[in-house]
Amino acid sequence: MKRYWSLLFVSFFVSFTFAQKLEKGTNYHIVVVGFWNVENLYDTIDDPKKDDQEFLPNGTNLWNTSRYLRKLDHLAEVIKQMGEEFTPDGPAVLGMCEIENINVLKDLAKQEKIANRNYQAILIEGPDARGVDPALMYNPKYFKPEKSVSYHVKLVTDSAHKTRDILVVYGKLLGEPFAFLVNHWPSRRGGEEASRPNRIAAAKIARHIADSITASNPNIKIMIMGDYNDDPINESIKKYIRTYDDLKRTRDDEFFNPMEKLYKKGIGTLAYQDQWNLFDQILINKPLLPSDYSTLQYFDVKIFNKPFVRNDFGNFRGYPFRTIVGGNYQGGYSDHFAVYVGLARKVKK
Amino acid sequence: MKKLFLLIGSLSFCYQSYFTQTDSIPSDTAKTKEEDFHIPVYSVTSDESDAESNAQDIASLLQASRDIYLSYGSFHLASVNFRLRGLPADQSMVMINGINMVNPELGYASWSNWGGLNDVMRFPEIRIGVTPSRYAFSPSAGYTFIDSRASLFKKGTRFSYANSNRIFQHRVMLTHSTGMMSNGWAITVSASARLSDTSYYPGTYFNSQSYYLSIEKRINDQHSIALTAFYADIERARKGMATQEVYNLVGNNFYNPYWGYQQGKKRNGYITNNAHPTAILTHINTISEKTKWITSASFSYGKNKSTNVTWYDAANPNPIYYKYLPSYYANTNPAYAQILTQLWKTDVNTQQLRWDDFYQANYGNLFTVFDVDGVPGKNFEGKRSKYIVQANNTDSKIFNFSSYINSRIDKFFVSGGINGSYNILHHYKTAEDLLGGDFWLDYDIFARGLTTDYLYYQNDIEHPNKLIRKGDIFGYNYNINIQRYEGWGQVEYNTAKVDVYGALSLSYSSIFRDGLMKNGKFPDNSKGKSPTKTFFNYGIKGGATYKINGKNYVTINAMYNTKPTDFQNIFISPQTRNDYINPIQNEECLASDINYYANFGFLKARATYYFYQYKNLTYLRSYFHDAYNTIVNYIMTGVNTQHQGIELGLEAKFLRGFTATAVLGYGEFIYTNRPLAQAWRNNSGEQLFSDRTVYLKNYKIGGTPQTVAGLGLRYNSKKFWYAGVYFNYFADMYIEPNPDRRTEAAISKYLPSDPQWQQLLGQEKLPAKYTIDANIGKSFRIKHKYTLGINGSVSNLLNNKTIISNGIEQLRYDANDPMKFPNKYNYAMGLTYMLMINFNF
Repeated sequence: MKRYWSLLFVSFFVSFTFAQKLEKGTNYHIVVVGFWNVENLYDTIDDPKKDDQEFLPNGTNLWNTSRYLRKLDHLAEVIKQMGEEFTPDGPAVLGMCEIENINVLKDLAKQEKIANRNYQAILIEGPDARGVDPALMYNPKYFKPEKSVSYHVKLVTDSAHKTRDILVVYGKLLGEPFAFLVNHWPSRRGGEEASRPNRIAAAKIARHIADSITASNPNIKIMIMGDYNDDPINESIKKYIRTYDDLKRTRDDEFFNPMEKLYKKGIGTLAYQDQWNLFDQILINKPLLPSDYSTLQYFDVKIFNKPFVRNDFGNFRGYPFRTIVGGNYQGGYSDHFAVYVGLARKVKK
Repeated sequence: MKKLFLLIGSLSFCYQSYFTQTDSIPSDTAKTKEEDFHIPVYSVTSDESDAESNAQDIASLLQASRDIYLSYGSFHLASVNFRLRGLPADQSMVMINGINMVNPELGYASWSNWGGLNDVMRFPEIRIGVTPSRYAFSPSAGYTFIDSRASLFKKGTRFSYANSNRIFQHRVMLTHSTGMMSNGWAITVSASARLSDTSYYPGTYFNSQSYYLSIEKRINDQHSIALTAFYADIERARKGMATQEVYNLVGNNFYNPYWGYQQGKKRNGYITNNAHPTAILTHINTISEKTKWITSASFSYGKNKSTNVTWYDAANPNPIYYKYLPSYYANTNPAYAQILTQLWKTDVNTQQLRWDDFYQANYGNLFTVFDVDGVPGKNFEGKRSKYIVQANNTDSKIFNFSSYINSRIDKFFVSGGINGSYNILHHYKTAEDLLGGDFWLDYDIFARGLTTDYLYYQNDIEHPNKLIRKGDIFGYNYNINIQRYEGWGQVEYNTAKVDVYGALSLSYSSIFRDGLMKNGKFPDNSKGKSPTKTFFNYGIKGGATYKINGKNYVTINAMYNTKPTDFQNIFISPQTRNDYINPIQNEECLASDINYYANFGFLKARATYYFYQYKNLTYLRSYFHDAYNTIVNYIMTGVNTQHQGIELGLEAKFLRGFTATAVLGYGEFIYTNRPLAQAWRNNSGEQLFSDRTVYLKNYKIGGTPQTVAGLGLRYNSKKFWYAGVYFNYFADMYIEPNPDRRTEAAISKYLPSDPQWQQLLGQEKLPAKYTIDANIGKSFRIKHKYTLGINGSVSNLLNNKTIISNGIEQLRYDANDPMKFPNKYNYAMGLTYMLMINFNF
């Protein structure tokens, strides 16, 4: 048996992009699908059914109307710019998490910077003690929802506490059948290893949902997005959702994770002890993989980490510019950066 | 047969894109769907020049965590005087709430001024080496910026108790914070006490109480004001160095010559008291989300007192005075040497200060003073002390202000500001304890023999023959008045792949001496103001960070700056006269470093090469010079040094819960030229010599290990306990050279083949050693609200008592007999521990 070894040539490139090839001179319609953990979007009104005590005008965070409005304006500023390089309409669909209720999303949609897009929202109240839920905002010009369901996730390590549901929204995106799964998996509190079984449990549920959808309709395009509290290389994603990172080596029964290569280059959406994590990811199934762009297919992924959403002051400069740190009001955006992918479809003549 | 193909990385081009708006249906698109209405169309061109603007931004290097190399060295190698890059202390800047805490005369900040207030001085922003700084122009070793304001502390209370055998035996700390309250106020208080009957070295102790109060008012989302005040009141009894002969005689490497028994109780004659209360008022103006303007003003009033035992017309009280050692009699009187050796081994009164004898000598010295206070006929008879405890005092009044702006303007981050300080340092000597006598007389005994003029040897000719009582000022009394003002600016520019910065500083400093005592040796030049010396200085700094990707960064930095002559060396003999050294030159610094940072998740590392040069440093010591048989003021000017080397700090996480840390510092810190020395007779102002070449080139800078290495392994359990073991190695520690021994005058009699040649010129290198440290701890969560932590750490686990931590060459030397005054050493402590319990609620 002979083995042939060839030399590996690797070229380094200054240009740092993961864009797929779109044909020059061809017209495309672009759909930007994003996800953002917006860090505790609460209104200032007390909801007796939830523990929103910290986020009231007299609560520990002194969460008053002016802070609430500034937060909405900041979020709108980012949503306005997400994907602007591809389309002035920004995200057509935006998964979100840490949303208190549907009202805050209605307030967000009315913000001046994005009001013209007429965003609508879907949120199903879940059992999380702090009252935050995943949600979906969408531009009705692009997306027509048909059905929304939420699925419970049970904590393996702690039966007393409740965690966030997985939100599933079915609908037509530019006429094509889509399913969006919006996740907010259990946190790493107590340690990554100790809490790992909880995220694996969530992963299994998400994967099961996706399998059921595909079983009934193999052509439906599925985007599993969320704040997974795990990186693209962690077990919950790699092994339980089952993902791969390279479009040259696709696997039919697995999900493509455009964030995995970003993560390996040290790009992240939040930082801890000077290390970047990329907890916020959007996973796509086979029908979304790029081929001829006759239907909506993936072409690019971005993390929205422009300088203005980064903290500019103090020892933690370079980190995401948060709204609140340890009870101290910072007036920023979120402790996570937003992420988005670009889908393209040739304009039919 | 299996063929293995390896892919060649494919070229990927980035295309610029633009979109067009089409509001109407194109005429030949009859089949366009309803949904295509008003949906923008996007098309790709191959304009690569705009590729940058669409490229994914790489975040700037994050540096919130402690530097691995620096924190390892500062903790595990403190006992052997680890100093970053071997740099002098005046190359670091320490700021609290925007105020530079430097003592302008010493050139560095004293951390002991807020010692014991660990709870409220945590989590500083530390940047090392040549680095951009957004608060002031930072010097070549970097800066530490502590933001300590009431609103930054979490609401709650923290109590800790620590038990140790190293410096203090007991330490209690209590801190309470209200957090930011809904009325916009926040208050934090902290207090701590460190107590010991005895510290590790015999005859030493450490006692302190520290207090802290910070009150902050958030006026609105834009303005906030904080008042932070603190002080640490410290008393510590010191340890003195000794020659190896003495350590061998006593049979104990921790022998301390600074104490003795007084009526059966241990008493130390060399005690330092330090208290430096400081208040800082800070205004934070968040003009916009992108701009902050911070203004601070502070006042600090300090007292520093350091005692020693002095004598007149009596035997030297110092137990290790060279004539009290057997070696002095080895050749001339071996029988007596034998007797002395026995006494040294067994008799504590030979080994230590003989307080009872001092008292007896004072009791027995009935003396008549004529013309007290210069009044003819005013005589006094009483016990004139032959021995007293005197203190060198420095009281300081320091006023400081600082105002700077930080602002993000698109891709630029702009910083700039002004700061200034006005300082009065009052130096004077006091009689602390007359040891049973009634008075002390303030004469310069070295000046006594020179003339019959009785005023000549008076330190205070306006009160000649004054009877010095306990607490009286005598000996010397003067103020040093220092001002410094700086304007600075810095611009940082961030792009997707590269960050660059440039900074500039312009400063003005002035100094003068204001003598408060008219000295008999220099009647026209001791009392009153000296001329003022002014300095105009500048600094420039710049660097770049190349972001290979989010996991690999390379940075390069360089700076050049000037600063005034070291203010501790600028007066020839500040205790007696207003004269400056000559020449007075600005010090210069040229510093550069290149760094690689890796952040791979499981592995974090920094590798650095640095190259620093300092020019026109000065050196000044006053000591008894054997060749001239008098106290001299010995000065070197134009001293140049160089520090270069590599640093490596690495932290790797592996298996489950293990963290390995490895650090390596390999440096070369040397003198690079042959400075010129001059010497003045202290008791007359006569210049003994000038322009004497000191052959200092290539001698090593002493006092710190030039090679350090460390390897630590720590396990963090899921159950919230941890344990760690650390192996520390240090080598290439040299003893700072006595410049006068490296001159033609010193070796004039000898040939290179003579043993005295090497004895005079050789520089002692202390033996390389290693130590092992360990720590263990556990934290508990009680009722989901309270946390309890228990931590124990042991340094020098192997209890190695043979580690010399530092040494000195005696300034007094006999060129005829170089071994007569051998080097003195200090040994690092053996096994020491600290056990701490802290409770948060």
